[in-house]
Amino acid sequence: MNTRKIVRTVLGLAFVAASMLPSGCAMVHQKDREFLADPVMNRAPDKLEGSLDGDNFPRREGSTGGSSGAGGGCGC
Amino acid sequence: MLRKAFAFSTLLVLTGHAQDEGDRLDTKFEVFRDRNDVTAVSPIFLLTKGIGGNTTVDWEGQVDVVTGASRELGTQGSGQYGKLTTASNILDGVSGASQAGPWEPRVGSRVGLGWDDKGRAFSGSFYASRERDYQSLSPAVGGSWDFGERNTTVSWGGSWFFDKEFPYGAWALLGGGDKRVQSYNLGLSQILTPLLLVGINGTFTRTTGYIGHPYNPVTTLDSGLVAENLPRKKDAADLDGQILQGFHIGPNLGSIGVEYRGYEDSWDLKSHTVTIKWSQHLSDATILRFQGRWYRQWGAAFVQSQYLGDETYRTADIRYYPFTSYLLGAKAVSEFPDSWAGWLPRRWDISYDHLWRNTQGNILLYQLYPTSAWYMQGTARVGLSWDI
Repeated sequence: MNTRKIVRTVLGLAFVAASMLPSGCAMVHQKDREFLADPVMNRAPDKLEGSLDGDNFPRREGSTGGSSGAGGGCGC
Repeated sequence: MLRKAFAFSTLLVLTGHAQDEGDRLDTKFEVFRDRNDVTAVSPIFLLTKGIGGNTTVDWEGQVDVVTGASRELGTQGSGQYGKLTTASNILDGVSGASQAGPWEPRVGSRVGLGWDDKGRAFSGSFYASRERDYQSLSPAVGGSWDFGERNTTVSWGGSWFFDKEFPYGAWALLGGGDKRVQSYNLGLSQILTPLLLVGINGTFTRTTGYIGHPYNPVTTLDSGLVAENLPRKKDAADLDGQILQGFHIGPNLGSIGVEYRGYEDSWDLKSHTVTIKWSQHLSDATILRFQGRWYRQWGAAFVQSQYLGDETYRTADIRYYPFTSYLLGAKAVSEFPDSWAGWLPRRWDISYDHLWRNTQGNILLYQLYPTSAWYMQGTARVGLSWDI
């Protein structure tokens, strides 16, 4: 897969997502967001969990594309 | 590490609103152990403090002490550090990297500045890490913008790594040098109902320079050893889609989240990742989380099971070969009694993740478990947080 194809794929998918997601969605007003503010509705890990996963997990698993951003560290 | 740069924007993407945070100190202690007897301990802390207005500063520090970085490859007979069981020259348990002593430390630190007001958020950070043979310096920026009555969030981020590898001893003859990584992401999230969120995030990453490391010389058909040789440029793209549905079991809120991640790079390495997480309140203060993850990787175009030694590109690094892995994990989060005050912590968490990789034992490749068994690893964490 060459670079041009990769860039085209990312931009194309981003455009499709940008076109589809906001359209036709009912607004959820601020007063109805009590549950969305709860920690169980947060899909992101806590910050330290994210740091440990990002720094350590890919090299321990021995993967290249298994988590966000496969770069920046050696682990050797 | 790039995940660190994107953590802030990802958080905004997934929740659709900024997180309220007071001044606090978070700590975690991680212990890792795998089937090759590799052990690692990693204490980490994060200090977050408001400095007026809508601005916060944070400082993160981490130490990672390991008896090997994690993969086990065939460096037997390399004549350099090729004796796994020699205490003074232990080979990396998974990557095949070497270390000169029984423990190898890596230290890292990040300082960040964040600003958040009425649906607009910006952040900047600088990260540095150092181990005996590797140095990484990384600035990063990110931001997000809410619109549509804050039901829709667009986020973006960029990070740049200025890395340098300087192998020691005889390894320095085989490789080393500068590596540059630049990565950009764009995300979009949407609140669909009071209990339903969806999001999508795309990332492009370009890596140039000395990619890989010299510690896995390739064994040729005639049992000779030749140095790894990888292309000096790699472009990669990944796309991540997520959906999170909340629900109630009795009075307690819970959620099921499903995430798919697809990855492909210019070396023709591809992967799919599917993660499912169930988070459930047991009480107002106590939350349990269970997760499962499936990962499948197809190898880079130039990887082979056997080499003649005259190939343009060649590697024995297990990171570029096909495999499948499975992960199961559990986590509990809760608070200490309200009466605790002063220097006592306010919150705690504990977790354990277990991973299986379909890499079977092979003593000649330093996989120190039966040929009928798979590679396994476990990671346990304990965290404490203080309000300050």
